[in-house]
Amino acid sequence: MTIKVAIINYGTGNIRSLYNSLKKIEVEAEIIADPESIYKFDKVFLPGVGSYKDAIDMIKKKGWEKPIKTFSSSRDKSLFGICVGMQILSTFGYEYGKSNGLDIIKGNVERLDKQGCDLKLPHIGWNNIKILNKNLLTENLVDGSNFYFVNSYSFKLINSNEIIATTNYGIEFPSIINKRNVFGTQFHPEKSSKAGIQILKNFINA
Amino acid sequence: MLKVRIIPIMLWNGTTLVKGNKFENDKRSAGSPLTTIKIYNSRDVDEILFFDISRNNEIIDKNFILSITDCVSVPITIGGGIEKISQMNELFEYGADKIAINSIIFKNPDIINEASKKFGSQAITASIDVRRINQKYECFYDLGKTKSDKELKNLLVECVDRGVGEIVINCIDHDGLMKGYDNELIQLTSSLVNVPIVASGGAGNYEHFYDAYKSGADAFAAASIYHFTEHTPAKAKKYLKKKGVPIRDNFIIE
Repeated sequence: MTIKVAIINYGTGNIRSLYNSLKKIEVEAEIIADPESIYKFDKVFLPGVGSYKDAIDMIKKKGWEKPIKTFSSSRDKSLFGICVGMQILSTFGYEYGKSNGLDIIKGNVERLDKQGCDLKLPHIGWNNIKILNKNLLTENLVDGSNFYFVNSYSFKLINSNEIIATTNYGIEFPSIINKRNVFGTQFHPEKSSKAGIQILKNFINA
Repeated sequence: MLKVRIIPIMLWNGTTLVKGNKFENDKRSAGSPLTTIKIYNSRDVDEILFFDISRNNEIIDKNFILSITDCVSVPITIGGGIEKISQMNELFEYGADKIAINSIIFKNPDIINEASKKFGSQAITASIDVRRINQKYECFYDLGKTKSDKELKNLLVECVDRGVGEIVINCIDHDGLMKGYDNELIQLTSSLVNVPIVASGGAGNYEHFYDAYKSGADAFAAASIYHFTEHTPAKAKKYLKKKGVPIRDNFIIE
């Protein structure tokens, strides 16, 4: 049985490059706009660019909140949040005021400079990860591999054992996270060339 | 640690890729865009700059842009003749990660504020074309044809204040000659603004990248060196790594 893969389209971001990256590993993902259709799939991507507030407002407005939460609580399914799509898995976000996130992974999303980073923001470009915990997402990846980032905020997790890898930019922040069957990367695997493709492959094969 | 970037430039005249000297670009063909971009992508460059210099692109050719962006799995910046938010919107929708603007900076600078608010600073790059005339840097637009009265210094600061997230600083006098970047210009630019600086115009060997790095560049854009010599982005990275410059290693499976 082939696994069924979907990309959530809730009105933000460049979904096409993720779709194309998956095609490179022979995965034909479906782009879905109907929240109730999520249950038909095994592996679902939650992408995102723009602000935390815009993203979570759209998720709620379009009726995705409950389906995503229900989906992520079933053990035989997996969810992958990318960039802001990862950030909104948190309890609260502080971009343009405080907003409630999906609260799937405990913690808050705060600006890097508020956390002590004194470098130029946004953090844009290729940066390396440091793997802290062995994880299926980092299989076949050399510690120190580089990925493409665009972020001014980062996810402060309550449970540090859910941090798989960190990245240094003025401060050390989580760049890959995992709680049970929910995964997230602060970077864009779909813009990260071969290393990014490897991460996508690891998620699909897991 | 954040890495410096190796960025090939592609100039599209509507029919073929071209690359000339000092912005006289129609003389030398540089191959097909699809073949070239596929090679760059397979060689794992850090980013791609794609400029349409045809000036026939007021209406964005969706299929053509998609054919380009579908080939790349690294970030791509698209520029050339972009004057409206609606054009930017379409380009982002068709896979651009950043938009580079030039002439419109001089004709309608308010669009920078609007664009960076709508798409985020990280997505808006100002491409600034400069000539040195009587020991003074002068800014040009319309493919280097029209001289602006704006002082370079003021222009750079204004661009960043209005919200651009990155500056491509292009020396027209050095363009295509492969004798090195204008390092004085790079130094001046990086001393004035606090956003990433992409050096452009004049790279002919790997040491030129290193010189630009020492002058404050965060990324090195180049065209002729890749079109017309044996030099490659991968070897450029090797050279810079040996010199202690933070670069992104090409991906290897463990």
